[in-house]
Amino acid sequence: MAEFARLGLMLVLVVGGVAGLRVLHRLTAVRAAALVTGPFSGGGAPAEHAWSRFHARWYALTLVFLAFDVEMLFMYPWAVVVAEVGPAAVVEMFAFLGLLMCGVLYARREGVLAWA
Amino acid sequence: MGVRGARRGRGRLARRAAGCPHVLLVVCPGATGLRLETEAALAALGGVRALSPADADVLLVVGEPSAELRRAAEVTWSQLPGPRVRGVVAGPGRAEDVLRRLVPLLGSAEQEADAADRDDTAVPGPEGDPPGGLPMADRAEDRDGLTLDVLRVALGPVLPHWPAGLVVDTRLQGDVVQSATARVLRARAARGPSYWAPGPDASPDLRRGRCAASHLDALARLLSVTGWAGAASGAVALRDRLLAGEAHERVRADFRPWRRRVEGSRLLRWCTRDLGVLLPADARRLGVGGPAARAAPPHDVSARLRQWLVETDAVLGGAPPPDGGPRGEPAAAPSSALLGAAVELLPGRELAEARTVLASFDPDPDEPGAAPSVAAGAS
Amino acid sequence: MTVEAAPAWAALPVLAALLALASAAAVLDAASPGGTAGAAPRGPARAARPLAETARLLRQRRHTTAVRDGLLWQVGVAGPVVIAALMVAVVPFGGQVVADVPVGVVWFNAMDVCLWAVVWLAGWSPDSPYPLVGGYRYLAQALGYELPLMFALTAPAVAAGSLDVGTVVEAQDGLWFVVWMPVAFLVLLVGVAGFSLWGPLGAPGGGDVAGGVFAEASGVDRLLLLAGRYALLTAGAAMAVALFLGGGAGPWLPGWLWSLLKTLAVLGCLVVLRGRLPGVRPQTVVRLGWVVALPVVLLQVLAVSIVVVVEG
Repeated sequence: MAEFARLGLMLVLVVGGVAGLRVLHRLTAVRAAALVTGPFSGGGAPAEHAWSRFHARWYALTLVFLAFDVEMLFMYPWAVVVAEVGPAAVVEMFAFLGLLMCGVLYARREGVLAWA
Repeated sequence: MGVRGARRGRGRLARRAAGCPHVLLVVCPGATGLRLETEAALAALGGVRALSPADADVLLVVGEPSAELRRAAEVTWSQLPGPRVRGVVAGPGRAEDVLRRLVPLLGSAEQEADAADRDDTAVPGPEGDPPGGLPMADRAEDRDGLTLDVLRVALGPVLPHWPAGLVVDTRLQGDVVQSATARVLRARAARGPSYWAPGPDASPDLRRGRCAASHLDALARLLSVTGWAGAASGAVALRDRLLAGEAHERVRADFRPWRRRVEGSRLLRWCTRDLGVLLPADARRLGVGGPAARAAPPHDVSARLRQWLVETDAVLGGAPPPDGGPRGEPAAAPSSALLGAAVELLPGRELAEARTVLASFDPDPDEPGAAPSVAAGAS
Repeated sequence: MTVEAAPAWAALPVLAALLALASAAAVLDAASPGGTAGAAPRGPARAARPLAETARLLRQRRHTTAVRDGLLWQVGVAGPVVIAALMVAVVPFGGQVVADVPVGVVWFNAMDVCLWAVVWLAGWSPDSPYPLVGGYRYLAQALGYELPLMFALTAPAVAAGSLDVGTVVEAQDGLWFVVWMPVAFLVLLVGVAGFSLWGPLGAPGGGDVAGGVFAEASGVDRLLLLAGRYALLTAGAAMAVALFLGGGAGPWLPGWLWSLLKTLAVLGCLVVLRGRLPGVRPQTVVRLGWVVALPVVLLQVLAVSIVVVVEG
């Protein structure tokens, strides 16, 4: 666990650095308090809040992505043992990846990769 | 260190900081000549064009603003975080003086006083619904019949790489344009002929130079919008050399390798092909002339970009400009047609595509008779 | 070369090296044509620009929009630089590494996925249209480059039979992995450009949306975001050096210096390439990522695993 404590140490250091920079900025800026304005809308006033249910048109792609992402869970431990297990590991993994790639081809045909 | 040491440190910081001012330009319609001067002066002083008010130290109004543009400049000014200065480039030959006068003020101690005196321009209202006194986005059907939030966003008049004085009111779902209405802000004074089309009385050399420089200016805007700052700054440099009166042959010698680089970029072709297709029949119906109408099949952004490159090369080589102006015959108000064509193609495009399409037509709001308003898309 | 855990104080010089290399990238970026310095005349003044910019941003006041999520904004703004530091903690410099984590490759991957949230938050929290579009663009293009990047990371792990970055470096004794897995190396560099909003993959901070996720940031917020971008680029380059370019291996000079020099060289390539390539819209990134990069990098991993099995 000591290795992960080192990551914690790095986190503390860099977050401390960011905090230090913020304190320094309070001293060097023309004014410490932030200026509050409306959002930039080309010189006009915004008609409504930008926060909206943003239509992410690539939502179908996220599902295909998720399939591969879960696959990565197997891929990492597989990478460590592939040399030991031998040809069977390679065949099984790439048969699985081949199936997933068929899914990608299907998704492409359905227009998932071209959403505009 | 003590108070005095701290003050000295701040002074040094301020002087260093003033070495690279970020300048936001608010360009008025009819002020193309002034804009070009201002851009050249800015480059000579080592300034950078700001992309948004939060990024800017200097607000520069170029030309004589109408009431509407003055309001836009005022709103933008209130959004500069400070240190901030502003000025007006009202006439030819003044841009460099204005900048030289303004930039040192950024480092002055008065900036602290200005910051201390400022009130927030938008204070959030009492918590609750709607927060901040603004309504939330409304809903409407999208092209697939789903009911989704619609955001009304006005593109312009203050926006980087954008034609001066143009405003496109859009309705966005996500980042897809559902409908667009374009209008050109009125100029304060009656407009003369466009800077780019000096008229038949001008010398052939001047007309050719302006035509090529206009194409380079348009190319710089288009390349900036596609995110290729390196190539865009090349176009700007060539444009400024032409306008400074350098011999066309010499500019052409440097234009050629630049053209090869732009034309040879497979990535750029990938990103601009099949985008914003304007078929010849539609071009005729809309009255589009000039290079946009002469672009080869498949009449997309890629083809229009190439057409500019080809015509610039030809004109620099001594050929007479094909039309009276760089966008077509000035008498036919070609920019109205270009704007009409662009706006018709915007609905259904995402924001990046929409801006690329508009930049590939590059309507010039300076032209007298540019259409006051065009609309397209589902309402 | 063997890699072992460094003493705890090594975190400080490694963080300093990260920031120094990031500054070097900023200087190089300002000095190269088409870089951040715009049309400013060439010369020493141009290369000194990052210093002047830092001074400018330290003097500039912070700016926030009327209705914004302050806490999430802070997370989004500080996130990139924090994540870059956490990435570089598992990268060996010469024969030593700050955190000798047995799953360093996975850690690097996990950190770059955290960026999805962080950059999106920076875009979303100001309640402003252009940053919002920028934030969503980041997610869209991440869908394109992330999978090829993940598979590119596994190729060296397969060859070394370990997810420990130090072991991967040790496994390159004699032959650097870049020699027989060049595709994975290139795909990793594209992924690095992607998560750093860099060059052709800079659409989330593009000029067509007034600077996107950067549009509402000023003062120290902007300084952190920009520094974070260069730091991410540096962390990515450092990881590429460890996984593909033999880490600190090299003649005459000490290992840590080789690591630094190689990282600087990779960083230099990334910076110089930026001015030479046009921007790519997220949708095109997705298409290229799934149709071209993904199959190619899978074939690369297949080739690597066949070699590993045959050599036994």
